[in-house]
Amino acid sequence: MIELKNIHKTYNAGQPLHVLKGIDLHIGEGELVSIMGASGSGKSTLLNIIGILDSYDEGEYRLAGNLIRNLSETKAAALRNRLIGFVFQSFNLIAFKTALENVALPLYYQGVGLRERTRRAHEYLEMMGLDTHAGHFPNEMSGGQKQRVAIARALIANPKIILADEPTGALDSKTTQEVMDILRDVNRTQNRTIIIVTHEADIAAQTNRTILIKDGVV
Amino acid sequence: MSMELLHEVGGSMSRNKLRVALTGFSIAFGIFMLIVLLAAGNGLLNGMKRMFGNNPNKMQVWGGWTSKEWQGRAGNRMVKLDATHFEAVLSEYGDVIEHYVPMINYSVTVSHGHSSRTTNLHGVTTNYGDLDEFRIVAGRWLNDLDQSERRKVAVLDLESAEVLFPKRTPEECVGEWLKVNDMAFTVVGVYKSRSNFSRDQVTYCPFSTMVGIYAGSDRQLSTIHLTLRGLDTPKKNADFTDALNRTMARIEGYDPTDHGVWIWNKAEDYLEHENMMAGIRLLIWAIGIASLFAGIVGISNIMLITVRERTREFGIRKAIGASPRSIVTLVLAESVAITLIFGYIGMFLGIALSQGASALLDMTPEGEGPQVFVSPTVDMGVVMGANVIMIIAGLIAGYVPAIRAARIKPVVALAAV
Repeated sequence: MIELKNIHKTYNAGQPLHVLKGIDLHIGEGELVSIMGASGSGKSTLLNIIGILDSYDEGEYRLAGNLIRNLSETKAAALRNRLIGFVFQSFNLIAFKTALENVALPLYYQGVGLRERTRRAHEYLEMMGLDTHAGHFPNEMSGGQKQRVAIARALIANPKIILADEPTGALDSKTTQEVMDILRDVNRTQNRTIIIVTHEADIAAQTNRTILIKDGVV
Repeated sequence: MSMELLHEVGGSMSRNKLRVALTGFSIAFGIFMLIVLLAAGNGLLNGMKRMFGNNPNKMQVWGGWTSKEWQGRAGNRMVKLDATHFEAVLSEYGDVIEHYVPMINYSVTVSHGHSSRTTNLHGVTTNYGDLDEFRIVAGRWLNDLDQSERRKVAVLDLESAEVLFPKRTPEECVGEWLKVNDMAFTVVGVYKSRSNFSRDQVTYCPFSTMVGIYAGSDRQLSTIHLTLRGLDTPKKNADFTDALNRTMARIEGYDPTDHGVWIWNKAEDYLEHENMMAGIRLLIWAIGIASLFAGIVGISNIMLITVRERTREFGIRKAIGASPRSIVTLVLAESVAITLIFGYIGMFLGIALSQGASALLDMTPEGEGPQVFVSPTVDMGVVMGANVIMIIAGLIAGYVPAIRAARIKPVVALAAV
């Protein structure tokens, strides 16, 4: 599903920063994987590259057989929409949209009509047990609820992969566990590949494989 | 799809009501100024047209003085306009001359009862009525029967009628007798001049009658009036004036390079005015576009700020799958919406003001107050044009902000705060 060969990435912020120094990685379909490393190890950069949010300088990245190199922004957006669902540490819900509208948004960019979008959004909120909050705005919800809405949004377009960047970083231990349970459940029952970036060992322990990153190499 | 877009744009605008209103104001003002200025320009143009009468292509010829010797005759001779000479060459100009009106005038004293005044008596052919220099207020204009029978009938001007027949309406003057010098005339009509120029009192009577009173006067016309057709450029007018002068030189016997007659081509005046009007029009458009441009800059400014504020939101949208085009559409839609909404407000107010002014001007009775502005309104074409302009303006205003928004990198936008 995900193949990375000799990926290099250098940031140019004042001084050039060689963040990724030859990453080789292979993640198969349906895996539940965590990428662990200290701050600055390059794990977020790696996730961004996998998620086609950022470009790389050297090497090859293949996603579900597609070579990801020099893609136009339009193509990249379309791939993200179809194949990848994102879950962020800071939830990144659109503040002026209701939970329902947030969840439905990926479908809007797929060109799905309003009625169908609404129906499916309700369905996925129900899956998260949040259908009662469908009309609420993000500022009316707790952290755990917001993250569950974000997961619903990540799932609704039926992507092959879920990329989660420190998904439990802003949550207390109880909701952390709830979220991890959901992710594990999704992986098991829906066979979606899930990649979680984290710096906490006990989160990583709940995944099936852990990839350690240190100083830009695995 | 577009209902969604409206929903999005509406939401975005309502979240920033004050800011949107303040910037929208500048577009509204720009369009308002454009409409009002154009309407005023139209008013001036209409007033000018009214001033020149409905057909500006009029010419008058007067007898003058030669300055050069010619064929044995000394210079400084008076040139007489001979009607019989001119009528002989009339057919040469058949395609250009539409109306030919010979005119004889003499200064006379007209009186009725105890009131009298000095006025000019003009003998004209019936077709002078076709020149649209006046309108009949009461009674009628001269007719062919008057001419053929050499009747002593007169058409009086309104002012003289008021002086000679005090406290009587114009209708009551019709049919009354009028003493012209020592002759008895009958008033058959009362007229009012259309032109702002002629403030002198003129009484009209048939040409034939005039010739009867003043024998030989048709060999020495005071004026020849002509209306012309087909002379639509300054060059054509100049050429015709030239040709006419040479013809007059030929038939009245003076040097063709001399100017023995005075020719006044109203059309040349009109065309000059038209040029000036075109210049004023251009200026108006320039001012209008400039003020519109100020409005565009204002909106562009606001959209830039809005885009920057929504950086994170655009980053999320892109991560979820928004193509650059959809982001651009979102921003452009908002800027066009603002431009259209406030543009219409400005347009509506501008039209209301110009229509109101027009109605007010229509209410002032004719003759009182200057007829400088007539019907200062804009036509449908301008309104449609303004619509198109507004949409284009909105697109221009939103262009740079939209490009900025599309270029936002999701990585940068989503960087955890």
